[in-house]
Amino acid sequence: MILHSMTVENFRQFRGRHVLEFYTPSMGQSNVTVIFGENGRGKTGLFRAIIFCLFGERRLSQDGDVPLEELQLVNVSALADNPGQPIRTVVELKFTHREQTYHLRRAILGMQDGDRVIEEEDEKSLFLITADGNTKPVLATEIDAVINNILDRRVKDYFLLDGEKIERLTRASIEQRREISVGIRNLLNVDALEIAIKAVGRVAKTLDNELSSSSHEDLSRLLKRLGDNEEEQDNSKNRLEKLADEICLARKEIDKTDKALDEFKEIRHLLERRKSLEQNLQEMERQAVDALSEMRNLVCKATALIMAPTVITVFEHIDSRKQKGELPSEIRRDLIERILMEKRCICGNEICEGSEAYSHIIDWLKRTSDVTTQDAALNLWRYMSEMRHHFSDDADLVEKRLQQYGNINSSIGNLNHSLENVSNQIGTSERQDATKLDVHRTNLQKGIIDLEANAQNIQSQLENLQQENDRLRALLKEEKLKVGKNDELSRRSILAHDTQDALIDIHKQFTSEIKDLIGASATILFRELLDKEGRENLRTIVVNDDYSLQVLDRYKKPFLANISAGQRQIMSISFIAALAIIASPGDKIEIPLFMDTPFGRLSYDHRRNLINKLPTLASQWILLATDTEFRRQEAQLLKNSGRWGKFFMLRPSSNGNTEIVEQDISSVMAVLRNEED
Amino acid sequence: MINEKIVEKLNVYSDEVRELAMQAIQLSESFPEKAIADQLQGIVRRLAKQQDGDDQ
Repeated sequence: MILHSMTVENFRQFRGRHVLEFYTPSMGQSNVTVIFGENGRGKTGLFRAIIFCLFGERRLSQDGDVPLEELQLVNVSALADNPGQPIRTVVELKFTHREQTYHLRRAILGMQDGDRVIEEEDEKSLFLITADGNTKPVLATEIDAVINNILDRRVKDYFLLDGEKIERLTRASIEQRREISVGIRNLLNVDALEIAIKAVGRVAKTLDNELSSSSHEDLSRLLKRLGDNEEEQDNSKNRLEKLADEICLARKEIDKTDKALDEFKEIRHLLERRKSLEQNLQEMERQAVDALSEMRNLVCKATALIMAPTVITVFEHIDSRKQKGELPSEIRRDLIERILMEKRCICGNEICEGSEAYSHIIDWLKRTSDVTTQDAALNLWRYMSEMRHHFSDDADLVEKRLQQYGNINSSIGNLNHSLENVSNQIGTSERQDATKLDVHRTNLQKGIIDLEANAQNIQSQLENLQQENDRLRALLKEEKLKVGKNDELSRRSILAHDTQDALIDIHKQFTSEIKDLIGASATILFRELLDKEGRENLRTIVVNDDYSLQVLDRYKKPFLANISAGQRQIMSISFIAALAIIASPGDKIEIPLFMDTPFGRLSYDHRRNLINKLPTLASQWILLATDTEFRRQEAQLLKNSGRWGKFFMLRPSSNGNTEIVEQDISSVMAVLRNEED
Repeated sequence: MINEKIVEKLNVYSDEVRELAMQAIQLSESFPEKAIADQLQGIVRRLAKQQDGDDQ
């Protein structure tokens, strides 16, 4: 299919009539069109116009669940400027497919009705353009079938490669597998094959039911056993499907949990810090209790320290009197008193009152203490002497303990402060505990293992049932053949079963071969599109049995998780292009390939390879690009390839509308320079 | 439009099986399973008769 031209009239933001000519035969191999415009100018809108014209559909896969009423096609400003008047929206396509030229036109009438816009199909026409320029109309009732023959509506979206689709294919996720499975099934008729298998199976079952109510006893019995076997198989398959759904749900739940845990990764270090602080705090508090206990034990010693200065003073006083000989006195007081009373010295001399000797003795008396006092003073001196030696050690010890207790308290204060800070950073108490999420995840994993084991058992049972089924079928066929010579019903039944078996066999072989074929084709493309460094390590693209994609390195080891975003993009493009080529009859993609901003993550070498290679793979390449993606560098590459045919700019006009301006290729560089400036 | 590779694989089967299979695949591109089965009943009858005619 090659698009020659498209005309849009009052379609989306294209007010009035706009014509884009993509290709004329005189352009030869220049099959690349660039549609250039900022975001929101209508690049994807033009692809939407093509789909609308071909199939009457307004929804693209990227629209997701957007309600149909919001996918308005009629130009808004045209409606606003013509209140109460219907506005016609038209899209026309002129294209060639396998040497037949077509002119397709589709129109809707739109009208504002209060807050909403009603759009109704107004016109649909298809003409075959003959070689001599005449037109031959196609019946309205046959238009859809003709178009479907050219491009199956199930794959309509597959030829728009947007960033989102490319991104989806690079992720090893259920969405990726589904996308690939859908692509293979729809593009390569695998889904048609599967429906055919079921339909023929239905016929076979109906015929068997008719046979079982016939008079052939052995046949009836075999059919009954076969029926029971198939019922059991169906039940097993249903159980397997349910298990698969449960496993899928569990995996989704794990993904959800992982996302929640990802959030926790930001605060996981805070949670760990909090735990560590709490442990330290607990330890400090324990040490504080121990320190306090030790200090209690030192109370007596500490109390003694209060008296230390007094004790030292008293000791020094007693000690000084000792040094002077006053303690103990040389002569006892009672002896001095006796001498004074007897007025006679111990040497026998008389001592007269008032004499000098008498005065000395009186002085002596004054200086001496009584025996008890002296004894007490001496004991005190001895005790204090010992005591004061300990003061210094005790003081050190008490001071040490006090300091220790002070430090512990200070640490406790700091820890509490740090804990408060960390808790504030962690957030409110509504946050789930990361540990609980971990536990939940582990339980889910265990659950999946159990489910998979269960599924494995059922699968084994299913295999046994299938073997039994094959045996019964063989017996049944023999019986039918015996009966069938004169029984048309038996022959029909055999034919239906044989056909079903044939289709099942073909399905198995085909899906296996096709995955290998797509992998091989994608690999060739992949290696042509990769840069030099990529080619050194990345060797093969593989489509796995579960429809996931994998890239093998030079050691044939899975490497997808390690490739860059740009390489992933190249991988996706290679896969889609390979799929499209294999779905096409020749060695080219026979449907125009639309690429919406494909260069985003690609390095220069990748862009260059893409620009050089893709135009040779597809009948037509329509590149939708923004100003940041398509610059002079890319323009020069395209020019050098010799494939560049057309360049259209989407420019804003009034009231949110867009005008389409064609630029001559030769003036593009100047235009792009202006845009870049 | 049936994929050429599928058509190739059908060539190893009998004419009747091949025809019934191709009709089933072609119908499955446009119709739901039940509707296809209803249509195939008639085709099966015709082919079975044709088979009987060939055998005779």
